[in-house]
Amino acid sequence: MCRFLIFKGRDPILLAHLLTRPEHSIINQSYDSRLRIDTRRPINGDGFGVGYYTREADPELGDGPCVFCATTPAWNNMNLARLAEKTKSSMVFAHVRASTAGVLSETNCHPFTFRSLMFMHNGQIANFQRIKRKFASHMKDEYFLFVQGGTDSEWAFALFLDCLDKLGVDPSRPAGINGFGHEIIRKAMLRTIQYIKDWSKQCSEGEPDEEPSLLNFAVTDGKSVIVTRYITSRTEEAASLHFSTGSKFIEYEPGQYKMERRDRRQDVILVASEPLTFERSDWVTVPTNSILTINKQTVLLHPIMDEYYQADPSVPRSSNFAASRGLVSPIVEPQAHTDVNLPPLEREGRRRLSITV
Amino acid sequence: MAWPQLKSSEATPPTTLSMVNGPPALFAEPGAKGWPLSRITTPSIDDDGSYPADAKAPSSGHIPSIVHRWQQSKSILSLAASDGYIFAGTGGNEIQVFDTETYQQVDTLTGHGGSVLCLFVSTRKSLLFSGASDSILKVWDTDSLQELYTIYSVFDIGDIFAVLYSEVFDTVFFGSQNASIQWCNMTTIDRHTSLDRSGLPSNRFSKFFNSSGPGGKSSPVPKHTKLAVGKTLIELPYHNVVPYAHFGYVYCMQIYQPPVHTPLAVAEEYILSGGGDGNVNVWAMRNGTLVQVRKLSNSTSVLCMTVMDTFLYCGLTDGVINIWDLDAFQLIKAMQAHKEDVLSIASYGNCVFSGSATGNVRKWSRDLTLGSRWQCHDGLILSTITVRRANRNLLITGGNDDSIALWDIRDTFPCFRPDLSFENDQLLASLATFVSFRTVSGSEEYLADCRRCATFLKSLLKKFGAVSHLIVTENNRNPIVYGRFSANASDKTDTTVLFYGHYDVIDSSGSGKWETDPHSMAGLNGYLYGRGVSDNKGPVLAAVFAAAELFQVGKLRTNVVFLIEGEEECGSLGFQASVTAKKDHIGPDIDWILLSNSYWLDDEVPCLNYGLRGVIHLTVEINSDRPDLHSGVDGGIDREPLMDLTKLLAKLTDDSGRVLVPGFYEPVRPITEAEERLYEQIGENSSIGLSKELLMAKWRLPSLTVHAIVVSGPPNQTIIPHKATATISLRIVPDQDNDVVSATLQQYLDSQFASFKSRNHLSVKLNRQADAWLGDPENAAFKTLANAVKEEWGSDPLYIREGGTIPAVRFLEKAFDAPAAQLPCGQASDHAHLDNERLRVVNLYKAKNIWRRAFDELPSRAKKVNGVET
Repeated sequence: MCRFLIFKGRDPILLAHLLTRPEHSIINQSYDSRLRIDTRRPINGDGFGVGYYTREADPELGDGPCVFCATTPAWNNMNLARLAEKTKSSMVFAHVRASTAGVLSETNCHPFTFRSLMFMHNGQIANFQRIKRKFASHMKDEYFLFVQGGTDSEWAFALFLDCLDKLGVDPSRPAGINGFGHEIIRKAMLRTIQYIKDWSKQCSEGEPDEEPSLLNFAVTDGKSVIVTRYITSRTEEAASLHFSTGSKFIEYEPGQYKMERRDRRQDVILVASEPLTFERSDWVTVPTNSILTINKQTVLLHPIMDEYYQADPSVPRSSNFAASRGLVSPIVEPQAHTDVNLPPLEREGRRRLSITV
Repeated sequence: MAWPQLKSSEATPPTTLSMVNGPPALFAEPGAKGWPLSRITTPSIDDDGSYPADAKAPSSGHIPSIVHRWQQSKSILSLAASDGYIFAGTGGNEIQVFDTETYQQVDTLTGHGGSVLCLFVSTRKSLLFSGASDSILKVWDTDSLQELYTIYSVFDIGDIFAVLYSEVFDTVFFGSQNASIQWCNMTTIDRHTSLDRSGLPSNRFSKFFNSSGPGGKSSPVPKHTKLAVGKTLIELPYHNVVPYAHFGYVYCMQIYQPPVHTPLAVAEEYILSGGGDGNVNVWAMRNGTLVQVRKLSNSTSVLCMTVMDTFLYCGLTDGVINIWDLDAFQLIKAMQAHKEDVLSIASYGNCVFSGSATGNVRKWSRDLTLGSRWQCHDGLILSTITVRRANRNLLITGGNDDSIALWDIRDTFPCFRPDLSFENDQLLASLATFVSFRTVSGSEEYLADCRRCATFLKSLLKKFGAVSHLIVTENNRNPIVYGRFSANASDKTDTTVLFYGHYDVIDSSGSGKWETDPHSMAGLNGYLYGRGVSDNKGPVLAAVFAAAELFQVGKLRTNVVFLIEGEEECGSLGFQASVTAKKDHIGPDIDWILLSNSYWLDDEVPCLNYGLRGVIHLTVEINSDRPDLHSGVDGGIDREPLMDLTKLLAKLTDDSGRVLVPGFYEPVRPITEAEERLYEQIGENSSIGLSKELLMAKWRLPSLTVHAIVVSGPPNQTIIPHKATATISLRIVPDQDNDVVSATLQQYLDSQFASFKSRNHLSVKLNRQADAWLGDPENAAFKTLANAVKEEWGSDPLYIREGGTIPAVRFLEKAFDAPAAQLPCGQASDHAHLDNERLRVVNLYKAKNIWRRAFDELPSRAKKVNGVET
């Protein structure tokens, strides 16, 4: 299980404001994951990836994103910290990984890219090994051959590309100035989920206790962003997903950020597995089984209405499954602070300051 | 009053409003709906430049004038108005409350823990609803300005962007960031109240925010986060929600009450909601729940809406305004209205006002023909509402430049107004005109302006029913405006009062430190800024309006004579001669002299002024018979004029600064016990903090000042000037005599200079002098004014004097054999004669009311017996 973060802004942001500086930045999430999968192994230390689009359309740069990833833990990667201090972008994907499937390899690091497109996954496809063959036989050769690594996530991306292709959009052509359009991407995403769901059902017949798939997918063509928060269950809660919008994401004192709302526009849009700050009123939960769209600087929120949809929002979903997977941490009263569990940079006082000063 | 356009046509009773609305243009042609049912897109009009050549000429280019502006420190996200107040929701978690009559900030409502994004006022219920980015909806009483309820949802709804209250359903609806609409029935609200705060969004358990980090460390609560606090809490019932009311943020809501003949048939209210998904959804309340009736699809996010009759105007993110016919649910026009997002829209009468991200507001006719456009804010216009007041229509805009602006849109509509109005609004409008004349006295450049101003004042007095004409002065200096309102009440008295004032001002050019154009009156934060607003145009107009108002309703009990001169700032040159010449005409029967040409001691306590010092202006010059010399060539040969002058000036005072002119202090009137008490009263008012000794030195003791020394020759360090001139003034007090003081001074200077045995020559020139004035704070005029002040301000006035001089006062007292009394109008911080001169609006209005009372109550004076007033 992993953490991901999406930023889309009217103006570019310094990556450090997302990745390294905030108190609960994605790097900190990699060792202090509050909504983490596994309390036994509290660290997303199996690599990370950052993908961002350059701002101006430059024929030499092309239209795809730049992705930087590594298999070292995010908090221990000096290059990431250096790049974050000197790179600005208005469309950023970031991901820290705790592998559930696939070995420790750069080919298994999110975000995955295909020409203009970029893709991340937070969750897992239940019993993926049982349906992997279905994936392979369903898709066109070019997408089958695109898969480099061994993760369910990358296969899901290949399936998404195939769905997009079959909807009449060739993902290998440039997305262009307006992108492929958020409607068609959303449609392809819903189809991807539909296939995974159908295949899982086919393969799990006779096994009533089949565990659900956690499908938090994020995809962008550089213009629009589609993020899902989805679980193949009517009663369980999906992996966490939050969003925050406002006029400016400001650092009011070192490490402390908040979302300023000086007007009603969404000049800054953040979507994240876990909030980047502890400012409660800045973050809104994406409802389980819904699909969030960023179109230009507007957030759209659609329900995914299938057999797992709950029309009444007051019907509580159980967090048993999530809890059994270590998704929800137990309520613990503050205790005496110990340094033992802190990752090295923190423990040694080398965090960020050593880089920025 | 904020939403008159929302009512059905039957429900708009005021006659003025029906005049405002005029005939419903849309239904002018029988059978036709006004517009073809097709989309028409007109070419874009440049927000920053002029209209393109092919664009239709504006039907009326009139740009509404600004009435007032309040500068705040946080952006203004939302606006609403009750009968008496304007409410502004800010990015600083507060709701600022302003008085629309006096333009004062009245209160600040706190309690939200995030930007206040939406406001709604129910005038009939006296309720204010506020929604904020802390997911909290608050209900306030618009009279007491107290918080009534704090309403919260059990869901994670995010920011509350839209709120509205329906009187029909007695229900408040609000739309949020998580695309939901929720509602709360106000009739049964008290059943749900609770004092348990644990359910508040900021307090309830969250998997993330209540989680613990490594080593069991709890999430920190950010220090700077202000959490919402609430008194009476209402947790909304689970079922009062429409999830996914939109597929985006719910940005705006409106009530629509269709006329009965429409297909919707029943006289019912509908709720319209506009969302980030571009839809306007039409909702009906059925069986206690919201049911979607219609969906109107727009191309991009609907950021704002306004309803006029059966038409809905939607402002969209790409600068388009769509008009929907709510009868037929058809889009009848799409108009590229702005270059950027249409962030706010409001309508009034026949007009639609739209505010954009560029800071421009555009005025449109109901079919979206452009009327005018103007820059309202330095940034995004985030909120726009229209308000109707007794006799004016206001457009109020709020922006992310942290300011709120009020625009007078009355001229937009041909509405009936009586010719004569003495309302405060009219007073402000007249004062704006009055200030626009550059009436700097003593400068040829402004002669024409002074003339025009005098004529304006004369016309105003005439229009109000006074006999008025100009009194010319010698050497063709600025004329004196004379006006007389004759008592016309059934119980009129034979009292006659003379109000003295001046229309000339100090030059405002040159300093460059004015924040506003000094000759274009600007309203800001409850103050009026402009040269002359406080000295003396505002106070003069307050008195004129007070007399005129009484006269117009036939209730003027005293004769009120106005003498408004144009040379006061230049020592009232020519005033005495002209008035003396016209004395019999002006009034043989004057009982009291009144004026309002000074200031309070501080900004808080009202005052009455009973004394002014007199003044003697002198020039002392010493020259030699030789030309300017070179100090290297001629230095040391002779007595130097400048040296003589400085020595002579040094003889005027001793080392402690006491004036050495013989007998100078002897006539100073000793202080009486009654007078001492007045000083003590001031001392007791701790906010002023000036000692008795200091005040006496300023007010009741004479002083001597050397203003400047000017020398001949070029200004370099080798010249021995052949001439040195000092300008000197003395402020004198009762019972010093001007003539005696100036004569003694001259003798003293002559004798001292003689003792120098210098070959240079001394000449002393008396430039001008004016008598001191000391009123009697015990007389009937002061008593009447004191009562009026107490009635208006709620506190007794302080009796003060002033160290300055108004030459005309003592002269008028003597000429008309009538005692004077002065009512200071403005505050100590008015900056008279300085940059950014101002006058608080409240002070102006109160001054008018005080004069109205005083003119009504001033008694005639008993006839003089042996020259002694009784």
